[in-house]
Amino acid sequence: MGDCNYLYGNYSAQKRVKFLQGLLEFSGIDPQRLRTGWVSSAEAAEFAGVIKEFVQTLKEMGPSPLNKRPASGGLKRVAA
Amino acid sequence: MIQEVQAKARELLQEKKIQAFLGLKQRHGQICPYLFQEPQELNDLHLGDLQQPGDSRYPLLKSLQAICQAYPGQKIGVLVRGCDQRGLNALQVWRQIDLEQVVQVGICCPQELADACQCHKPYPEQAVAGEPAQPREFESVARLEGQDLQERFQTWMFEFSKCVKCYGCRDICPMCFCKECSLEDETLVQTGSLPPEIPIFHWVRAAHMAGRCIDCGLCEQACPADIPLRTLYKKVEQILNQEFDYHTGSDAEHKPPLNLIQN
Repeated sequence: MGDCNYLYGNYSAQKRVKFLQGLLEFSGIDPQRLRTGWVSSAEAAEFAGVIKEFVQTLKEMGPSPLNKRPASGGLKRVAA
Repeated sequence: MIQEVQAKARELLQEKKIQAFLGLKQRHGQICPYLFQEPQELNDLHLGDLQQPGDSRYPLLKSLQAICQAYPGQKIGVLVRGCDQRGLNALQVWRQIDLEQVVQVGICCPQELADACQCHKPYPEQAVAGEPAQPREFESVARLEGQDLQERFQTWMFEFSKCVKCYGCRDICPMCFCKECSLEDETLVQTGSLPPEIPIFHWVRAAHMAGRCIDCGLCEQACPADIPLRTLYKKVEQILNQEFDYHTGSDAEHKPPLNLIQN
């Protein structure tokens, strides 16, 4: 953090991701499906590691509910 | 309550402290926004309560922005409730209105209206009429949070699937002032087709409500499909409260965290 080429860029990103994770969770999407990590363009091995780990997490979670949504007629009202 | 507002507005007009007063007027049994320029016109002023408190609402701040921009240098009086005052503060923060140009005539909402709106602050800082009503908790966010992820997903997808993409929520929103709207940007949401792409259409709007939504509830009242939009935007505000200690519209100085380029 603070080492961003765009000065405060990663701070801005971090705030937005934190906000979006809250919005996703409230909408019924696991917030872990959105992740930030801080890797410099010179750290190839670290980048690969972060992505591998994320892919592993996603595989364990299975497909996103957005990918298997039923037709709108099949949805039932759960709460007002 | 209305006599106090009329008296205050009349006094401001007569003493030339304002050039016009923005409020509601009853005309042929209908309520509409009106810019009062002569003191005697104020006899037709209306508070927007036709059958019950607050059943005839208009986004006065939307008209106010247009009037202030068209007549810079003129002082405009405006009727404000608690929600309107949060809106004025937020509009100042977003540099859409200059509070120096505006003279606020505040009224407290009656308890009946505060209850109906489940308003967390049904009164402005200063009021010429009414007594501050008890604030009310908005319950539906907590109720939804009691569901598990899957149930919540189903709930929202059901609600969003009712959307007819009328843009009523955006058009009535006093805080929607952008000249170019993200909801019409085809790189963000599919344009020119119905029904709208869900949930992204509503998420884009929700994200844009961060630091803007002042919880007036007009969007939900305007929605022809009864989508619980206020619940969604209430959660947006709650995230800002909890994660960033930011309270939209509570003052006219602090910029929203997601729009500040710093840590």
